[in-house]
Amino acid sequence: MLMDGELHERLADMIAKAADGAVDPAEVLAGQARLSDLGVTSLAYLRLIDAVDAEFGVELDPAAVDSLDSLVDYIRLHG
Amino acid sequence: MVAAAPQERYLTIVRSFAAPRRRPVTVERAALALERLVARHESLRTRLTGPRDAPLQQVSAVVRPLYEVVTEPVEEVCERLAAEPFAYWDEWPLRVAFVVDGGYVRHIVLILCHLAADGHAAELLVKDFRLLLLRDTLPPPDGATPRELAAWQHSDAGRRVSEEAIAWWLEEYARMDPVPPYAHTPEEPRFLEATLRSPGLAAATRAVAARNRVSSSTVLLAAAMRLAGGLTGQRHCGMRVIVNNRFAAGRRDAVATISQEALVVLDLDAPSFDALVRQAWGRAMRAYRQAQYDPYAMEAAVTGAGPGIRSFGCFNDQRLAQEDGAAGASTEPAARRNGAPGEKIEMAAARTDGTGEGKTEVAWTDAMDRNICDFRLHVGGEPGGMEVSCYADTALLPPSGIERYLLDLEGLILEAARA
Repeated sequence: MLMDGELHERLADMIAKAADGAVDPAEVLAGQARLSDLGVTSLAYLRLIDAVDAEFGVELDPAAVDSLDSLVDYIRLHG
Repeated sequence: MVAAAPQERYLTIVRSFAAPRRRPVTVERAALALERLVARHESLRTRLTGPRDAPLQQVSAVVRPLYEVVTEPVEEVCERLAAEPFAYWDEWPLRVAFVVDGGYVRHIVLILCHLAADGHAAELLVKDFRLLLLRDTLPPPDGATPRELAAWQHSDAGRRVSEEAIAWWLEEYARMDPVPPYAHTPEEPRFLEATLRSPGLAAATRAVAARNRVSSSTVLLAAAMRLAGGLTGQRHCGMRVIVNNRFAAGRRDAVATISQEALVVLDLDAPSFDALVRQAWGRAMRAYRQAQYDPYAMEAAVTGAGPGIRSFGCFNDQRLAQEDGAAGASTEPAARRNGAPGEKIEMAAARTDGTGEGKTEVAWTDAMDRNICDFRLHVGGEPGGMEVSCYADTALLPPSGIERYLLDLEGLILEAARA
């Protein structure tokens, strides 16, 4: 399993990729902003769910995850 | 689509685009670009083969695509070429016209058979065609080809995904309350479509979406389902939503019809519309993940779920542009907005929307004798001028009910935005 910092960075990259670059990974890493407030669309969420499933074997509950920290916690708990 | 014959022209996808101006396009150049487009995408070289009740798709290695060179107005060409359904066994799934003026091609018209492309695929084809008018080659397409996708569907992994989706749908079916039988005498033609054009609906939908941190599609879906529950008396109501199924890596640029229906079931006994919207977002996101399945196996599984236990209609958000930064997952082709040739388009209703932005209008936009769906909602239109079409079996919903449904949908969202 990745260390916390690495996991944050990896997930921030995955979020940016899922959002087609519309979201800056640095912005995701910077604070506690909700992903939806950063411009993560439902389409990007679905891509992210798929990518997380493929990489970590964890199926995200979209209603339970709306920030990078909650995403990290979810993967730690269910991974 | 075969089941919808002979009046399935509404499934045909129509696209037109202007030829690049900086490098005038000759007919020869356009024909070469078309040839390269067809060589690039095997779905454009695919027809049906075998018996009508158990058809197979057959890919041809080489196809010389046909095209027309015309001088008619673009809209007339689109209307004419899309008037007849495709002959799936005999005809290639693409009709093309080059609209010329002054010796050069000014517009390209693409008429696509829905077997070859869904809405997202149509956009990809337009993009590729435009590039091929400018360049001689393109990098190879990303991701899986239709044949590879079909092979995956028949693999153990593909079957497992389908079985999981079917099991999930059956659990959702178990939550639904029954839909009462049809209560109205059908009109002739039996199926009618009305389209609402609203100057205020797009902004109101965005406002409710932003407040609840969901997509605008979710707001429209929640409103559509609340009103559907009002018609059926269901507390737990299910509606199918068209999903483009391009979330997974390797699927994003698939040129094929891979969109399928998801099933969203809501408990309409929510404390407020905002609460229903938030519930819809979570339910829809889960549902969108369960929209890849063998349609025959799904039909067999859900048939016999119990008297009246079925989904109520289908919701299709056709807005490909994510103009609010949070458009939904559902992307399908823009339906033809005109009635059948020779039909009179009549205004059904008009009212001011109360925002001072103009008048809301409802017009009758299509009619046909048969359809494979008894209730369908399409969302489209330009940003700021949203269009919602309601297509219904008049045995389910009489014409006055279709108009009422659309106006109530707008009213519900405008009111929610003001709250």
